[in-house]
Amino acid sequence: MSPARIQSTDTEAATVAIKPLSSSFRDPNGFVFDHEGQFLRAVQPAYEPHYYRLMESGLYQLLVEQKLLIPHEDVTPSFSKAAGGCRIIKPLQVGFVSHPFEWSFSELKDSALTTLRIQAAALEHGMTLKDASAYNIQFVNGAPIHIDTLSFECLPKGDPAPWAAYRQFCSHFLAPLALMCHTDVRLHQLQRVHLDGIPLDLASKLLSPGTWLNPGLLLHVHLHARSQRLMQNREMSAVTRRRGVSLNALRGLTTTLAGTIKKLKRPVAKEFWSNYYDETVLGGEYVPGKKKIIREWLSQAAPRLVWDLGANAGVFSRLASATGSQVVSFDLDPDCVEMNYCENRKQNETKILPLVLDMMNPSSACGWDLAERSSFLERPHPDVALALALVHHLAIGNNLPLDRIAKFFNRFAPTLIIEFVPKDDPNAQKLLRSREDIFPQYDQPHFEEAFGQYYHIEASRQAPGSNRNLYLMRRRVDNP
Amino acid sequence: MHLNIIFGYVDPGTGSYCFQLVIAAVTAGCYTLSRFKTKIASLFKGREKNPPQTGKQEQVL
Repeated sequence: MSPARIQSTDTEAATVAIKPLSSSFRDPNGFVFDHEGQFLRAVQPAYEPHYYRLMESGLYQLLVEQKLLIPHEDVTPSFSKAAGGCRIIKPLQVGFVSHPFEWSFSELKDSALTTLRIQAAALEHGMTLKDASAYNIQFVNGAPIHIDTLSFECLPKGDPAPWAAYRQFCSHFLAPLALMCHTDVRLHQLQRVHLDGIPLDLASKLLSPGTWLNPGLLLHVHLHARSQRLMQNREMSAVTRRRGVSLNALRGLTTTLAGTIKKLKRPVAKEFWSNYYDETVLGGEYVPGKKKIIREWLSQAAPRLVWDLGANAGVFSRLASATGSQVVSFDLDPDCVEMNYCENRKQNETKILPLVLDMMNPSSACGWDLAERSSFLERPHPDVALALALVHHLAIGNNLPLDRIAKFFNRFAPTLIIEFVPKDDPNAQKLLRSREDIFPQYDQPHFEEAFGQYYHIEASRQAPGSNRNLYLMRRRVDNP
Repeated sequence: MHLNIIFGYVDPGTGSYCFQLVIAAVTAGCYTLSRFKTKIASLFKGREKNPPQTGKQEQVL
């Protein structure tokens, strides 16, 4: 799509070139663009009838009231219709964009059910979702919400066509959920390779034979995959193409998909990291003492956005959110992220977004032109990063030199609250039990020297009941 | 080479489209049954017998 040229009446500049974001190219009905740091959406004139129906049928109001669809305001009057008469809408801004392969089981399941609730409501208002991409869902205030206002289209009169987004829904939501539930929770990473959803034939192969006895998975994954294979080399006749289904068939499709997904239960946690703080080998005063120090430093820094790296089940993320910060809570272990998310939902905690992230292989830019989905470092950077009991995993567990760890943190964290776990710590000893100690420079002086290249150490305190040290660091102005 | 060419032209959407036509009777039946069950349940629970038309499927979901 070529960039539209739409004149902004706000500026003295004659014409402002509005360029779609690199990720916004699939939908001919509109595109997202960045205008003075805000993400706006241009709606092409061809989409107007659908947009009008969405707004006037009561569907938009219903979905916004139920917090299923992102609210927006029409800001067209601020722009002249110099090119093509696009309508410009300004959606509520999403603080931190996450990708489906970074979500836990329940985050993906809640997103799937949100999509189906929207489709169910749309059908009752004479509309349907024309796509069901998991990337259309983002987490706002701790809950999934649909962010693509242009995903709706009017149902034709008479028998409507089959749901165009059925294949996409099954590949983006049902297949990964079924694989996580019935095969292995780590298979959610397949979504990172298959950006347009896990192919159903692959999901069908990977699912255990027992899933053929599950009516929902039999219908929507196994038989669905076989029908795709059967039809792949066949021409659809004009008669078939014109055939529709009843509205009740579409409703039933949504109902059976929702029933199948609701029955998928989250896999049982391994209960290793999940009990980390309960069964810590450190003294009983360790966690409360550490919390006190972190709370004090966070209150001083008053960050707007915190990244909690290696967040475990989110104990310290909740501490940060209690001081008023928005928190993105990363952990390698999908079970920890799952626990974190479920605990937040239980406590009605809305400021924390738990995500799966391997610090040794963080989410990279991917998709077309490597610009469709942003990398870990391309998303909004935090004011403060927490790295508690993390460095020994990177340095000892993954042979990362300390100065490289410091250099990496310097790329995104202006303020750092970091914990150094010495070699004689019982948990560091666990890491060294099965490997040769090739880390002569892993000690406190070398740690301070490595991080001192990039940060001023503003405060340092020993964590009570342990030999661990906590640091508050601020990025040096003159850092390399 | 032959497989690559075929792979490039595979359209899984066609299969999904036709599959929905085939299972339409099943999904419509499931929907009718679920509505029937909801109505029976609401009779026993003494809830309103005729729920409003708008969002009626959402109650099923």
